[in-house]
Amino acid sequence: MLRLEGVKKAFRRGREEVVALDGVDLALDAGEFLALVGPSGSGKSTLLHLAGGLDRPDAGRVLLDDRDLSTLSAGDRAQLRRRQVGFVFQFFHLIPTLTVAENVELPLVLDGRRNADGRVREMLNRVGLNGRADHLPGELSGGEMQRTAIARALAAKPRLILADEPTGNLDSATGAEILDALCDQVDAEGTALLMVTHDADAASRAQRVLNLRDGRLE
Amino acid sequence: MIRAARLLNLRRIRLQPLRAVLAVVAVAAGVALGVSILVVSNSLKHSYATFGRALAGPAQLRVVGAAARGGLDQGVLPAVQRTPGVAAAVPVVQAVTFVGGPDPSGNHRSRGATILALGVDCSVQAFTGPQGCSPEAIAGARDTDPPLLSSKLARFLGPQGIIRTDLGRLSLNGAATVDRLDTLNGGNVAVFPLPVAQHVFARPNRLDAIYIQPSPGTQVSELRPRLEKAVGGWNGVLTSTDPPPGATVVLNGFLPLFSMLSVFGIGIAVVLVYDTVALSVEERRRDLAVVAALGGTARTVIGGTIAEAAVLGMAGGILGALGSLVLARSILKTLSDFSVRFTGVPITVHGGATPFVVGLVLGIGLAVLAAWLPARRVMRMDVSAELSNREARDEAAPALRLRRALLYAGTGGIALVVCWLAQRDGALSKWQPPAGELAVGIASAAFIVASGAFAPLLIGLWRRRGGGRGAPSRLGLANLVREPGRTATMAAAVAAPVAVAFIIASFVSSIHHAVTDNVVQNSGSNVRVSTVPVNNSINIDSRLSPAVIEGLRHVPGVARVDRASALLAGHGRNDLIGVVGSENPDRLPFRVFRGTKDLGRFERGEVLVGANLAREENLRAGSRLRLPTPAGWQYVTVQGVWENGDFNGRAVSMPMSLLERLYGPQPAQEAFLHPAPGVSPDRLVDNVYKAQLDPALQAQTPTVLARLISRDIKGQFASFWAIQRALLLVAFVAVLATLLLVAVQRRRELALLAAVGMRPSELGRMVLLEAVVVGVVGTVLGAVFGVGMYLALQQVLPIVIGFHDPFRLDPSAIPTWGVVATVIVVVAATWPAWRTARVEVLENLQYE
Repeated sequence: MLRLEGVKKAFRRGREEVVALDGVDLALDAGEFLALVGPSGSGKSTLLHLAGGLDRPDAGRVLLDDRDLSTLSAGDRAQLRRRQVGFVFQFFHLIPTLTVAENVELPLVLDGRRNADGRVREMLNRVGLNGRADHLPGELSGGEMQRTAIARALAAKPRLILADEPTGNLDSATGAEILDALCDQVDAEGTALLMVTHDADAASRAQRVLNLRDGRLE
Repeated sequence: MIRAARLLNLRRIRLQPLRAVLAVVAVAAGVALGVSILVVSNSLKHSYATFGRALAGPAQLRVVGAAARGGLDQGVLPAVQRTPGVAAAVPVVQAVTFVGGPDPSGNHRSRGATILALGVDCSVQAFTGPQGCSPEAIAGARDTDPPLLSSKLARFLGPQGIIRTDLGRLSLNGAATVDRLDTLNGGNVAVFPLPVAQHVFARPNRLDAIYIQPSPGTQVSELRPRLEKAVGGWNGVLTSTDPPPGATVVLNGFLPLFSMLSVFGIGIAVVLVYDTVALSVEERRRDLAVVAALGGTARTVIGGTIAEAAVLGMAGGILGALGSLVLARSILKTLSDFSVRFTGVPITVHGGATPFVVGLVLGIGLAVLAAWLPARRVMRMDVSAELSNREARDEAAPALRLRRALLYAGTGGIALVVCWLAQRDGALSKWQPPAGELAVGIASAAFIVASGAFAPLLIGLWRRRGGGRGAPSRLGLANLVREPGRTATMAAAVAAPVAVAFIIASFVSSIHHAVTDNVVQNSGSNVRVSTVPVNNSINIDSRLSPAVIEGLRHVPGVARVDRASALLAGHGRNDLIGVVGSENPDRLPFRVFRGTKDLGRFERGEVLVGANLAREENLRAGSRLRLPTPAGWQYVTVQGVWENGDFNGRAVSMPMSLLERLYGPQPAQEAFLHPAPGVSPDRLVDNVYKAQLDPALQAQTPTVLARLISRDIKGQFASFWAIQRALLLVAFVAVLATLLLVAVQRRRELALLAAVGMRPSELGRMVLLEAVVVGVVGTVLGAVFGVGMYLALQQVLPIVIGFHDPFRLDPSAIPTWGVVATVIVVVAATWPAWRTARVEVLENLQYE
């Protein structure tokens, strides 16, 4: 369902040009869990952002269900992210002024959906945060925040989850819980999961592991 | 989208109230300045309308003459009475004069007031109902009989009160009182029989107005043109609630000036709101990037930001409307004094609902306008880079900041050039006044923005040159350089009140020098005598009586007595002309833009006109100026256009003999005594007082006269100082809220500093030092760019008020107000410093 074909991306840092991705080819099917490992600065997060339509490649194509993301308008890509893609970030990126329930509901609110309380409750139940629904992110532990982020990513029933170091800021036990939640989603709903990680244990849970070094897949 | 806006934007207002307060106060400041002018204007209209209704009662129209004082020939009355649709036509004299006397409580003080003196005959009973008036009594009244007084005025003055007329003082002992007069003009009114009023107030066969009551069934809209035709175009027909012609001098003189200042203030408010919103949006970049990552569209982000701004704008608008009433009160104090001198009518604050409606709309408009650019800028951010902490903040790059600062300063410079162009050659072209006023607004806003933009650059330079010893000061300087947006906001907020204070003080000094130079140069050694105040006394009927003039000729040391007088001709807002007559002038003082100022031609009746009049009437040397007079339209020849600012540049200067030929005998408003050889002005003044010609007679040497005039003008600046105080309040709030924001945002960094050993007192000192640096830098930049703003105003003001004052800076205001502003921002920083010193180390180092 996700294909990257010859994707290249570079960034300018002052006068220097940094090549983040140098001709990457990748394919991910529905229900597949793919882990992407590599050292810092190898382009993992860049690849994830391109896959989610947050950025456009300098060359090559990113295809989601055979639709070339670079040909879509900003509005269409935003709609895609609301409905088909769920993001889980390393640093959670919860909105600090919204409660747990409101953070989970946010993608649905952005999509204009009403009466989403049931779905929110279901997601909170799934990640075990029913009792924290009215708490603000500042009142949560790291694991609770990441579980909130996962619930947010799953709220709109996405077909693809993009997880950027989801266990990077968590202890091993909590990290294992998070991975369990993500794997359950893959197994139960057939969601595709592309996870970037440094964590070998986390990578070992994946069906496939790819190594990204200096912008290229090994 | 509404729910998204509620969650993402409006929720913030509730959860982060201080940020909201900053934006609200900034909007309120701008709205207060803008709406105060509306309140002032409405109050003027309301006060005059209320007075008109109280005076005229059921009369709906009134006929006024060619001049504000006795400008209506009595011969017009029969024509008015014959006009179809007129049921009653009541002739009236309306004079402004002084009353006074010893304090009735016997404490050896005296008290006085400016009042309205009316002259009516028995036809007034058409409005008042039967009052027992008889034509015989009216005809038989003597000049020495006291007028009718209101009960209130009679109590105020006591039995030894006097009223001044153009024939001298008249005792009010034994004056009858009428309770009903207490409701007219606050009781500050006296009523004479019409013939007596015409005589004692020097209006032989002249009137000030004829009040008209239409016949039943007659439409005012139909009657008015009939009356205009009957009385002739040189006279006017006004409604009873239209302000008296003299009021137009108040409106035309002050309102454009205050309007310009309010535009200046609104410009500053927009800058502050923009900075506040930009800071707030900037601070939320990460959250907005997350929203974009989750699928939020541009509409959601921009719409939410605009909605948030609109809500804050609403609150600021209402608060600003309240503030406008307070500010208007201060402004109206000055204007009321002016109005009483010109028309006898005091001005009271009239608010009503309009300021709140306008304030609401203006507040929302200001806030939305200020929020638009920051919201659009956020939409162009690189979401991926922001989420990866890769986003390079443009504002942090010194080169870009310097370019922007130079751009703002350059814009101000260009606007200055336009100001200079707008005032050239007396601003005789039609495009010059609007261009000048717009350029002043742009220059002021650009220079205030530039002062903020240069602040972090200046601090950076200071830092690179080794500024700051010890960790708190070095870190404080680094913080200010690293967050240029916040530094700019605070510095601009400090620079604004310092610059305004500098400008006001410079204008006061400049006007003082201009007045002194003008008076001393042009008066030579002549002594001025008068019975009215030195300034703005044109409509006061308390002039030098013929007996006093004659007495002055015989005062020892007087070689010659020259009279001078002035009146206001016209009756509409846009056609008022000040006609100034003088006897035997030694010189014609002002610079000429067009034509000549030949004394011989002047004496032969070729007049000189002010620049604003020349521009509006297309007058040049050789033009024929049409003047309304009681006898009809009269034409005079213009010999030159000159830089006389009297009557906002709409004065016609002519010999006294021509003035009296056109408008009839005029009592002298003032007289100039030429000393005999060997007699000094000071000695002459002594001799005048020794002669005891009139207790109200004042004599001034040129030096004293200059001092009195400039002191009078200085008093009129009180309203502008009120505006400056409002800006100091904005500075306080700007610094308080910004530093509190910083304390919250930098909590991890502050916790880290504490963790590596910085003491709480040092943390607090760091914040206080930041405030001190902002205060000092803001003061310096306010002074520097204040010069530019002053120059812009100094170039364009002559177009508005008519007078050109020299460029003269008064730097003494800078240290005074710089210290005040710095103290204020340090006080504002106290609470943030205390909070910073109490940062919780572990709690803030745990999670992002």
